[in-house]
Amino acid sequence: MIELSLALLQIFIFILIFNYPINIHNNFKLFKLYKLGFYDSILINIIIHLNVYLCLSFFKINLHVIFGLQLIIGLLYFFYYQKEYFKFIKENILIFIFFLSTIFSLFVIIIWDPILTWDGISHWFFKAQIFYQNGEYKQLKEVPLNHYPHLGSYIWAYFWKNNFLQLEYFGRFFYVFIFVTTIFSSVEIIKKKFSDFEICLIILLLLTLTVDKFLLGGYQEYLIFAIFYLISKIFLLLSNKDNYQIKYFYLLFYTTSFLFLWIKQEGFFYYIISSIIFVIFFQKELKKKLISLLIVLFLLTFYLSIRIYFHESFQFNEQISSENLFNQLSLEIIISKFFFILKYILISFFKYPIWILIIFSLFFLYRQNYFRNKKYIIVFLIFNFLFITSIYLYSSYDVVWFLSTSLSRLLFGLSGFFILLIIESFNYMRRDKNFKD
Amino acid sequence: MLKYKKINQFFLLSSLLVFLFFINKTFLYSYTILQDNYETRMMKLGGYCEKYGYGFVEYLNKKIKFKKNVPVLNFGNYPSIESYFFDINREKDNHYLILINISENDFSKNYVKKDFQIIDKKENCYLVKKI
Repeated sequence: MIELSLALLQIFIFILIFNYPINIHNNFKLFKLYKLGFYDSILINIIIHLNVYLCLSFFKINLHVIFGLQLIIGLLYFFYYQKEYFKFIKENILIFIFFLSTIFSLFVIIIWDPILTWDGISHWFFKAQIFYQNGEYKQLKEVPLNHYPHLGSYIWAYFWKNNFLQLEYFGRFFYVFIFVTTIFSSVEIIKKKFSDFEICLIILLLLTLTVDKFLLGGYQEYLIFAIFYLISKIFLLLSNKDNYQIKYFYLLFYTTSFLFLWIKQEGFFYYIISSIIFVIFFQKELKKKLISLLIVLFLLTFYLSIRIYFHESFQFNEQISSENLFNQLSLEIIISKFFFILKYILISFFKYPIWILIIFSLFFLYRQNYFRNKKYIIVFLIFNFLFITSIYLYSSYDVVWFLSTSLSRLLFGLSGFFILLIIESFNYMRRDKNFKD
Repeated sequence: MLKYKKINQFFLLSSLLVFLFFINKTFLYSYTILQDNYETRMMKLGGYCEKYGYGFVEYLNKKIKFKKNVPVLNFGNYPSIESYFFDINREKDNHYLILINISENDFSKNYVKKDFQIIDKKENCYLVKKI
């Protein structure tokens, strides 16, 4: 009983911690034209907090102290805005209950089966153990696959350490929380066009197609999913001429995309691809393009410097060398690998059927001329598929084994970027029925 | 009318919640959680000497109280449970080795002949020490 009660309490702790600095009552001043919804604000706050956690992870700081401070500030914020919060909850009670219930039901899955799955147990948990046992960043060198980024494990350790039962899975609750918030945030743009029940049905559909119990066993994919989603939302808002000049969105883009680098290895390439899209499509003047490019390069250099300083080198699972590349350059190898990649992409679409819905949405929106001023989505899709294809073409591992163990997860993370296409499709369907905006 | 609509929505949402809990097996899992505590669930799902071999490694850790991090090798299609028992203040142990799901054949071929002494054994799980 105590585990279930504390799991329920943990949801409120998350909401309390992530209800600042931006909330539905003060964000209007910050973002001027676009009024963020409740779940949008939580997601943005999570990103801000993740950047704070990232900074703290390099120092040996008592995790209880940080948590205590966070909780106090959260409580103060809550009491300051309590009237507004209660008003909001009263007006949106049905969706809010659905939000709490969804998180709770996913928490229950983790509590019921607390055993970690492959990558979670083999390397992410080692890193979490270091931070949980008051270790330091430099001790990461002592664990397997230490060249993997550490932020996901740090957050895991942080919430593991700060619960009454000191049970490991409380740390993984954070992944569920960010994932569910992402799904609820995605429907904010159609909230006015659909009834609460319809919104919940759409959410349930998205959840059914994206929840994977295996990934809740310590994988970092839900973090990547959430970051991709937020990047897509920033791009969507920036593609609207009214929001184009809002500098906070730029800042939000840098802080969000920067997190890619610290969560997973492939995040390095996701960061580069997102930044290229950002500079090309959302910075119109040459001067602004140059400034953005400089910021992007500065953040990348900063990341590389820290990695090299602590780990003495910067490496991926496989070394990038021309020798390895030339070994893979036979036409026969390329063709056979290419067919395997295609096969496993199709298999992954069935493993994560959200992709089937994304493909339908792509066709549907294409017919609606949606991409006329949103070409960046197509470019983003092409870049990412090129990246995924090149990983497997380049790799010297057994391609069938490598594809079967990793491709579906790569595609799952990437699907976060395209969730909004599904939502936009619903948006267009309602518009077709002459629904007043 | 508005109130009626709200009640209607509330009823529909309640049905949706029951459906959500049903597909996520929330009721069934909650029942199990209330029946079994954390350790029991870990033992059931992590296995004693099968699957991850959680029970066997836990038993050894309690019995022997290792001073170093003992490597755990799982020969079944499961990852090593070593990270659960990882202590950052201990070194890696080069003498002891915990083997999970190892077949008799593999064991005699790779360990018996290579100067390993059996310290503890349960079914196909072993704690061995290099002589």
